[in-house]
Amino acid sequence: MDQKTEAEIVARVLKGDRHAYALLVEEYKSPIYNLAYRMTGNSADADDLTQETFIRAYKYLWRYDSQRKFFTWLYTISFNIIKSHIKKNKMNAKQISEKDILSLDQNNLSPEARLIEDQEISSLMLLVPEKIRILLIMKYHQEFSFEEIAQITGQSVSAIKMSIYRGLDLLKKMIKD
Amino acid sequence: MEEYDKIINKIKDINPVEPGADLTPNIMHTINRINERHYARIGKRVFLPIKDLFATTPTKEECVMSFILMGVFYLIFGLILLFFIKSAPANSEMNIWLKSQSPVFILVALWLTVLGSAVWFRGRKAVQFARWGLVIYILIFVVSTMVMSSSGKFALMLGAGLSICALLTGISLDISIEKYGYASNVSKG
Repeated sequence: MDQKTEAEIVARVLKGDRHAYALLVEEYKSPIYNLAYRMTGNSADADDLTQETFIRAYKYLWRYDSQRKFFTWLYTISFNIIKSHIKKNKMNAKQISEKDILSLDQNNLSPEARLIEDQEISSLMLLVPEKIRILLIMKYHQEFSFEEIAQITGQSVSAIKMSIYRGLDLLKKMIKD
Repeated sequence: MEEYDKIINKIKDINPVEPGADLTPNIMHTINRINERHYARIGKRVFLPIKDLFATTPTKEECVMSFILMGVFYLIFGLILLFFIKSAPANSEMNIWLKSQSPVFILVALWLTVLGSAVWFRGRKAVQFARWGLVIYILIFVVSTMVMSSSGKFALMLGAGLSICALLTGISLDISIEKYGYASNVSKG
């Protein structure tokens, strides 16, 4: 969907044609859901967070700047909702510390670590700190540019590149190529 | 980055998950609940929590209603001061203040009615006028307080209180009218 069509749909919704909003939901529910799913690791939370994203976007639609891509704006909302959800639910408990990950780099891997090694990449991703994981997902799974990620997250491009590099490095150590 | 190519490809190859078929209907159902008939919204708006009040985009009718209700409030207050408050001793600081404020309140009531009427008849074209009108509304109380501050502490305190109230209600009305104006502009393309 191009930016002009998005702006037209937003205009229709703001004018009172709320059913037009379903077009935006249909178009973008899948990437938003995927981001939420990859961040939380379960479909129930992903479902709730996706719904919350679209409802909040609807409430604040008047703030949307039609010069900007709707998807980027929607992603910013989603990013904030997911971030606060993770903070609230203390999902950090699921993560392993950097120290633990570094220990995987040693040759004497425990059976548990070997099990981790065999896990699918998506499971390993859940072990990456969420601040980095979300960047990895956006960059490589959803193929955003660094500039778009910077716009969504409010971080500088160089900081994002640094975090992504760190994330890849952590994954590499976990996978133990 | 070549050393990470394998990992990057693995991330790229992660299978996307599909949301449930009921996601869109659920979202639209919630949105329909947000969008009640606007007359019901006007009534409900009064009882909305502040965060929800500012989260929704008001219609023209709601904006006009806000201006008129505010105007009616000042009119009633002004008339009470003019006709019903007689217990203050003559020539006392309180009496001087009360007498001086009733015309101010009635003036403000008329001014807010003018602003509301402008929005009603001219729609989004009157948004800028209404926004500047709200600045004048706040200034009326600020100037009135400055003028009356020489009458003593009582006048100064009440005047400051009224100015703060005018500032808060002015900002709240300004947010509403700005949102209405923005929504109208976007919908006009």
